[in-house]
Amino acid sequence: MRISMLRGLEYKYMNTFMHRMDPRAKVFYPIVCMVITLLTVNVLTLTLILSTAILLAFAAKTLRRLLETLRGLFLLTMMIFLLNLIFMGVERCAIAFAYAFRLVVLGATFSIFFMTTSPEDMALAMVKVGIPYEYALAFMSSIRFVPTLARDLQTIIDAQRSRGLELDSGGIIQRAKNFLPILIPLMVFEIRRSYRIAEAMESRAFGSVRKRTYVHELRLRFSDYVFIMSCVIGLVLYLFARTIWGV
Amino acid sequence: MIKVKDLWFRYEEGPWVLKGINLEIYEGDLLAIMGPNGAGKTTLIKHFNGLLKPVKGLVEVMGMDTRKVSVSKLARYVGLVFQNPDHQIFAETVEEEVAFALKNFKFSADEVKNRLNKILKEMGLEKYRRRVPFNLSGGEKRRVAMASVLVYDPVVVVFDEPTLGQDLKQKERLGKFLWRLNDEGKAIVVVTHDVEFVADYIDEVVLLSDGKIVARGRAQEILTDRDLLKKVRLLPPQLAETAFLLERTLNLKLEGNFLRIDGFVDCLRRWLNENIDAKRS
Ligand SMILES: Nc1ncnc2c1ncn2[C@@H]1O[C@H](COP(=O)(O)OP(=O)(O)OP(=O)(O)O)[C@@H](O)[C@H]1O
Ligand SMILES: [Mg+2]
Repeated sequence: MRISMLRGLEYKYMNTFMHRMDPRAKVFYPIVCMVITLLTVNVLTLTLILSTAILLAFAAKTLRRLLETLRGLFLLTMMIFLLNLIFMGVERCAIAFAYAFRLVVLGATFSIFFMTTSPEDMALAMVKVGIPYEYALAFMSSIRFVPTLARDLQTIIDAQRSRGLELDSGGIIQRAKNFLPILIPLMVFEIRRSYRIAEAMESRAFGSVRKRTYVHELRLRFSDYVFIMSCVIGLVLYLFARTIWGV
Repeated sequence: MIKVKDLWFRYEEGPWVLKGINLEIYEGDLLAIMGPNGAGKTTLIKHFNGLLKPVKGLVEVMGMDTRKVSVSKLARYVGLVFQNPDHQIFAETVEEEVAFALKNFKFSADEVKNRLNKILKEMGLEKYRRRVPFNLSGGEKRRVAMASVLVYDPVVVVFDEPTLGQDLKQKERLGKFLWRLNDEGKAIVVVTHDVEFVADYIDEVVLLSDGKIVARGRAQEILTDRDLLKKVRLLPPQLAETAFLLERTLNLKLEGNFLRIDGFVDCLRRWLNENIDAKRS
């Protein structure tokens, strides 16, 4: 289950309008949603945002994966709900529920962005808005390697379980300790991998040319502007509704 | 010891990876599982200690249904040595790394000490006892990984690609070592692409292709069947190829076990004796 959650970040090539959209336009959606989500504890508003996420996911043919991600998030959400319930008392159950719900909504909106945007496009967009290429690349590769990381993690878990490690036994301290034989190889492995990649890139003359050129250029099209406008209008409408009804 | 009955498996909603595998492994077996990349070899051996559970069919280890018993219980009988030691090494010293399984299986302190000494000696790791395992060479790490499984004395030992990146000497040591384990009565299963290694050291071969077992038999039969090998994208071992060429060009048909060099010489001598005798009389 822990691993299926990571899958919500994974990009798969498809050809829908969400996939084709310029990432600079697309990113407005999760950002606007995040702003609203953090401003409100109104369950109705949150539900409305979640339904836009589901609609978009449906249009982008990624609904099934979105639901999987949310299922993965469910455990974490339950924990937040219960913790809030304990610290705030049962009488504020509704608020505790809203806090947990927020997480789901945030997860859903960002997951749509990551599922439909290739890491290369993200890097290109970052360069376009003035972020140095090295940073854009670092960001891109960290996303790129999420699936690889998930696979390594699985293999490491398998290897240690084969030597008799039981992940879910014992008290809390024992359980935390049980994760060491998994986290240590994972960290060592990934750090070594990053060195290997850096060497491979440098041996192919990465960084030798000051000014980069790009095969693909990003251009904002009419439909992209429409999307941005819709997001902004959505935000403005919410702010109105907030001042009037306090939602 | 291990009984696989009509095993079907797929990862989540993916395509079927294993399609009706039937396989039995007995005490004293020395078995290689071979087949092209993606055939499902690793997937199959992960069923032997319950890391993966059958979607359809049944896997039994020492009479226990793997679906009903925990991995740690099954691992006590079936040791799995993974391909890449970097996927398991975590301890600060070689000693600690090797003792990991013993602690998980709750061996007594005395027992841990005894077994540790014994296995480190056997694997030639004594002088590395207190070294940090991360900094060992690839071959040494691999031996640490093997030791960390063999130390608890499982009755079936499964190796995933143990000869990968090993030099000739290490392969020879490994082969001899497998023989010794096998002589002690353990069942040994080796997943590999290395036909020469199999020709030299392994008795029996299972060919896996596209999730199905296409053949099981003596190494001698399987590794000399050129059509069969072609189907699973393997090259016949050099001596099998030599024997084939001798037959085709000189009409010299060798009989017997000619996969190992000493056997080959014997077969050749026998043929020469027979044919020269026949000519004389
Ligand atoms: N964790 C996983 N999730 C999804 N699919 C997987 C996973 N592991 C393996 N597969 C798929 O299952 C099939 C069989 O893989 P497996 O690793 O068992 O092959 P193999 O015979 O060990 O190959 P190799 O010789 O390359 O090691 C492959 O098509 C692979 O893509
Ligand atoms: Mg494999």
